[in-house]
Amino acid sequence: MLGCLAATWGAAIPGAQASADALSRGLFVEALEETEWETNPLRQARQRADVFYAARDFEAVLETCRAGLELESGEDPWLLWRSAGSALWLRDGELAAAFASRLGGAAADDPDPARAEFWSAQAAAFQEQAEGHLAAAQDRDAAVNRARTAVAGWALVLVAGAVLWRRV
Amino acid sequence: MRASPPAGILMVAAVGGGATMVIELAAVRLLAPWFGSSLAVWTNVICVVLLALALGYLAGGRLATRGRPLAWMGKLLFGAGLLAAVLPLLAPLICNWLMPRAVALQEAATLIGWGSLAAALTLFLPPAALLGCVSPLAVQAAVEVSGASPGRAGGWVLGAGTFGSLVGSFATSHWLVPELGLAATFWLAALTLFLCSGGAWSLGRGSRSGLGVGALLAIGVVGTSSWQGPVKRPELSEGWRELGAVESPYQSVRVVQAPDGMRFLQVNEVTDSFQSAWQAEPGLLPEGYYYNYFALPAWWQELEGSWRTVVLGLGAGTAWRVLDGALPPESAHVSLGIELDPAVVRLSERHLGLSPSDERRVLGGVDARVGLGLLADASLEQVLLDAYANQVEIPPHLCSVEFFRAVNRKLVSGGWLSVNVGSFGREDPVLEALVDTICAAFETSVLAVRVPASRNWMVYARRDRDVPPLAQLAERTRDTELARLVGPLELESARFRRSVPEGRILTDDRNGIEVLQREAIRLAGRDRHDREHR
Repeated sequence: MLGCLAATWGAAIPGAQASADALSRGLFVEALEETEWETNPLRQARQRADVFYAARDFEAVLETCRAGLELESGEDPWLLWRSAGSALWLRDGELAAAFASRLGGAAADDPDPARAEFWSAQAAAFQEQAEGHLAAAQDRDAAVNRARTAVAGWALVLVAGAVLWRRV
Repeated sequence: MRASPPAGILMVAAVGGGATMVIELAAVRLLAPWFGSSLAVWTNVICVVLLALALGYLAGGRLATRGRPLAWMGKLLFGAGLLAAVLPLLAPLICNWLMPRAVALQEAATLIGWGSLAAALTLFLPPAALLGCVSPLAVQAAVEVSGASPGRAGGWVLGAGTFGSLVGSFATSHWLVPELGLAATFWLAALTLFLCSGGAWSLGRGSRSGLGVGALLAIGVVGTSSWQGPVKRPELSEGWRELGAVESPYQSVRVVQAPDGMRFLQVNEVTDSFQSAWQAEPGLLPEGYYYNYFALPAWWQELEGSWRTVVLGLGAGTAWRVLDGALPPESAHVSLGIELDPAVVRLSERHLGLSPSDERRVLGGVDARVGLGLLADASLEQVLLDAYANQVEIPPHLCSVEFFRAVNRKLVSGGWLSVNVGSFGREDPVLEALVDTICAAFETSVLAVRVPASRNWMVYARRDRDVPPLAQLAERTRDTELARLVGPLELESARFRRSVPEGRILTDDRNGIEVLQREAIRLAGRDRHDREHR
C-alpha cells in the first residue's frame, strides 16, 4: 500500500526513485543528496522525512515534517504520518495524538477512498498508541501529585506539632 | 558517686544508635527498586533521618524532664521496634502507590525526587524520630542512676550511641543486607529493639519481667519474618517474568525476561532502563541497542592478530556476546571484563549465559579504575567503557581527564576507546563534557555518533591517531551485517567530531558530572515542552 501511495504522489519521478533506491541499499547520505533534485518542496520534505525516519533520527523527521507542513494550507497525510510515528518513537503521547488527529482529518478529506481508508486506519492505530503514552503520562503526573501531597501533609504535621509543642 | 553510668543504659543507647544506622542504610536499599539509589534518593533519606533525629532529640529532652526516663525509653524503643518490623511490609505498598510501573527514564526525574522524599518521610521519619528520643532520656537516666554530672553522662551516652551507629553501619552494608536480605535486616533491628525495650523496662523497675516481654516480642518477630519472606519487588509489566534476583552489598539485582524472549539485567530499576541485554544467539542485537557499536573499531582498522579488549562495567557480558558474533572472522578476541558487583557476575552466569574462560576472564568485585590500573601499559586494542551507577550516573572517577589518560596509556598505539554515553541529544551537557574530556586526555580527534532508535551515543577515540573517516568503515563493512549500523551514522545529524576541547573538562578534583546529569534531564524536559508547543 505504501508503495502505491508513493507512486500516486509522484514519488516515482527519477529523483525520488533514486533516493528510495539508495535508502534501500543503506546509503543514507546518497539518499539525502538525491532529494536535492526534487524541485517540489513538499515532495522533497516527504523524501527527506523518509530518509531521516529510516535513520531513526526522529527529531530530524519532526523538524523536516514541520517545515513541510508549513508549506501549504492543506494537510499532507504523508508528513503527518511520519510525524506521528516519530512522536511515538520519542514516547511523546501528546504530540503523537495531535498528529494522529490531524492525520485522521486529512484522511477524511482525501478524495481517493482507498487512500482515505489507509490513512484513517493508520491514524486510529497511532491514536491508540498515543493514548497509551498519554495514560502513562497521566499516571506519572498523578503519582507526582500524590508524592507532593504526602510531603505537604508531613510538613503540616510538623508545623502543627511545633504549635502544639509550644502550647503544652 | 559512680564514675560512669550503668552498662545497661549505655547498651540501650548503643543499640538505639545502631538501629538508627541500620534503618538509614537499609532505607535506601528498601526504596531502590522503585526509585533507584541516586544522589537525590540518598540525600532525601539522609535528610529525613536527620530531621527525625532532631525532632527526636527535642522530644526526648522534654520527656526526660517528666521523670521515669527508663520507662519512657522502654515505650519508645518498643514503638520503634514495631515500626521497624512493619517497614518491609509497608514499603512495597507505599512505593507502588508513589511510583507507577514502566516509567521512561527521562520522565522519571521529578517522580524520583518527590516520590523518594514522600516515601522516606512516611516510612522512616516515625521510627527514626522515636530512636532519636532515646539519647536524651538515656542521659537523664544515667544522671539519675549514677549521679554523674550531665556533661559526663552525656559524653558516655553519646559515645555509646555513636559506637553503636558505627557497628550498625558496618554490619548493615557488609553483612546484614547481603547475607540476610532486606526484610530480615529490618526484623533483626526490630528484634534487637524489642529486647532493649524490655531491658529498659527492667532497669527502670528493677525486675526482669520487661526483658521477658521483650524476648517474647522478639520471638514473635522472628516467627513473622520467616512467614512473610523477602520484601516484595516492583511488579513487572504483563508478560514479563523474573528469572532471578539477589540483594548484593551494592544493589538490588534481578534478571527479567520479556515476552519476546530477550532477557535483561536490572539494577535498582523500575523504569524502562536496564544494565545488560541478552538474546539466545551471540552477535548483533536488534536495532536500538548501543552494544552493537562496540563492534565497529575492529572493522574500522586493518586487524592484525589478536584483538585484546577490556570491558569496564562488564555487567552480564552483553558486549562480549555482541563482539563474539560481530567481530571480523579472522580476529582472535581475548578479553577481560571488570565488574564491581560479584553478585551481578553470579546471577549472569546462571541466567544470561556469562561463561568465563581463558579468553574471557572476569575480574569481579573490583572497581573499573582500580582494575584498569592493574593492566600492563600498551596492552590493549580496545577499551570498552560502559560503567554506570544508580541507573543513569556515570561515576565521577570514571569520566575524569586523569582516568582517560590512564586508559590512553593502556592502549597500544592506534588502540581504541569506545564509551557508551546516555544522552538526550546532541546538545546534552554530559555528552559535551565527556567528548571534551576525552579529547583533552587523548589529544587526538574524538568522534561521537548517535545510536539510532535509542537515547545513547557512542564516543570513539584512538591513541596517537585520529578516528578514521566513517567512509572507511562503510567500505569495510559493506556486504556485512554491520552495514545497517554504519549507514545511518553517515548522516551529519548523527555524529560530530572534535579535535580540540571546546568546553568544560572533567577532572578528579573538579568533576561535577552529577550537576551535568541533572542539567541534562532539565534540558530534555524543556526540549520536549518546546516540541509540543511549537
